[in-house]
Amino acid sequence: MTVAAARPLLEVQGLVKHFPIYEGLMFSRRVGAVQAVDDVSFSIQAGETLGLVGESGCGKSTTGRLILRLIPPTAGSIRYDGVDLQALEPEAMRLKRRDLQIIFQDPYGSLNPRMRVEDIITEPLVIFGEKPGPALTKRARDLLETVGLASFHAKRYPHEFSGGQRQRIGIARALASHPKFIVCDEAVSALDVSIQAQVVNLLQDLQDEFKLTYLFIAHDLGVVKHISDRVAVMYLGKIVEVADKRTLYRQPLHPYTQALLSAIPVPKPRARRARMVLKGDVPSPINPPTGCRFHTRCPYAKEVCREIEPPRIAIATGHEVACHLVKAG
Amino acid sequence: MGRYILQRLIQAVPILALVSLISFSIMQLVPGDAATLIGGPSATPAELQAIRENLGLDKPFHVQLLKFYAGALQGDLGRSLLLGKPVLEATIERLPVTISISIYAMILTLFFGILAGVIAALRQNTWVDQTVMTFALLGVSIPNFWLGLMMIVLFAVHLGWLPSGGYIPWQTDLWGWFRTTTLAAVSLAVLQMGLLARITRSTMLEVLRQDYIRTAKAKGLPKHLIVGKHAMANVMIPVVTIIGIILSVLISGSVVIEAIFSIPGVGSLLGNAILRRDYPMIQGGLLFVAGSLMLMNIVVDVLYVYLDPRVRYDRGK
Repeated sequence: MTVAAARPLLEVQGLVKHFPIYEGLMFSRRVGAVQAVDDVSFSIQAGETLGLVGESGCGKSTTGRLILRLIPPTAGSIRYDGVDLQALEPEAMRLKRRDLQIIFQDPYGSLNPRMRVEDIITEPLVIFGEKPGPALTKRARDLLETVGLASFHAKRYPHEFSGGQRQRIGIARALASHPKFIVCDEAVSALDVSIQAQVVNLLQDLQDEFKLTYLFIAHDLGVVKHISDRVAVMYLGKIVEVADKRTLYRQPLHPYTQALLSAIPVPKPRARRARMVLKGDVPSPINPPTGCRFHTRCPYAKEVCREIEPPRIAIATGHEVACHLVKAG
Repeated sequence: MGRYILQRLIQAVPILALVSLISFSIMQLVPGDAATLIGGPSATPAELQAIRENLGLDKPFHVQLLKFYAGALQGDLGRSLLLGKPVLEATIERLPVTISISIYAMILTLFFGILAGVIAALRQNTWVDQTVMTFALLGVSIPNFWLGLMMIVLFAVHLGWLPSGGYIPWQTDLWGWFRTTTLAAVSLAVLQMGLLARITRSTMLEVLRQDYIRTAKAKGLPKHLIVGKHAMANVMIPVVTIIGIILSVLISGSVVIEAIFSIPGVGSLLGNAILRRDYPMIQGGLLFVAGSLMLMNIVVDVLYVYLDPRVRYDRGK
């Protein structure tokens, strides 16, 4: 293996996103900020799927959008294939979007109601210089078949499809420009469980076929376990634990990860297991707790957790945890 | 689609009948009488009676009304008392004037209204936005007859750039038409422009927040395509609804504006008819205006099908 091949496809360093909050009708002033994403770092190897999990509002989707520069970050760097995306001119970034795609959570809102499915799918190709015509129409039809729809669906409008079908259109659209990296932002959360499985399998088949790299954002640990190679757990804008799938599910070290995993329903009604139920709500990201952000709900919290923020340390190869209670070695 | 249009046209008939019933009743309740106006102050009671009998004004209300309906169904809206010619002919004669000015005002409204709204939305909360919206509010607040008078004072009296009134048909002299109609069209358009700018702005802001706009950005579309193609296509849907309303306001506004600028259009025809109690002219004219407005609204509703693929009139049952 050469050095270049070992370099991760995507490398996120110290990513921060604070949404300012303004108050006052006439003379608004900044009164604070929602710390949606706070010092997030991770990397994804080519061909790998990184699962990003956490509760609603923990900053997962914001992270996904920051990576694609759909919203500007407050700080931090995003390197894709060695290129700092932050430093790119808008036009250069626009051209990069060919390689970086996203599948959105809401299959209803994310498709333009005024466009036919084939136009939705071929539009990225046309703007990247391909000539509209029969060849392109055929591509759209092939893509529809790839995602399990029929080619005669191409002439229809989004409102004529069900949620699951629309999500497939969203996937076909994301695949159209032959991207290398796709952010799946809660791509299956809005779907029925039976459809979820189909779409997840579809994503895996497509990954094998087109050598795709995924950042798979979800709140459902079961789905993430199925598709991911590695999993990162987010809590209140921070990544608290990263490990390869097997290690994380077998031996979670961070108390929050343990709580999340114990909440997964098990299809054995008589199975006895220790449930770890978290008390209270997620604190406000406007005024996050000091020290470890999880200390307000952590059953093992100590004095040090309230005061000092735990650094993320490597426990084993590829297993990193940010907790005072977990010691290296 | 053909069936839908036919349905709408048939529905229009009872509405038009109701419109003329109302205008007929009001006319009967108002004191004053066409015979005295036609006969003049020197006419004797016998002469007045003769005029009434001649015009059928002595007949009972329902007879007059039924006679009017019977005529209207055959395309005969009666004969103007003052002009001495058929109402339909008098209206159609003046129609090109009003239509050309309305189209002129409509183009001004659409162009500047939508442009201002889009610019304000794209520059939301900047000085550009605030300036544009201040002018839009001003446009909505200024009465059009006052604006017309003020523009006559400025452009015709003081600066002498444009004539203060009159009308030159575009068929004979396009530049002359342009000069005589501009002030009238602008005073008609300003209110609508303000309205349209405000609606376009808020619609555009709403559309720009939609998920599919984010999708378009993620696709790698340049900004001018995101706004010009993806957003505008969806902004136009509510805007077309407003255009239907604007049309009706333009027509009613033309009564006052044509009087101010002494333009011989349908508006001034109706205005004069009202002032001089020319009953058949008012009746016929109102029916004509109501009919054309309904027709235009049908056109607008049909346009929806082309603008919004989710709208279907024929299917769905």
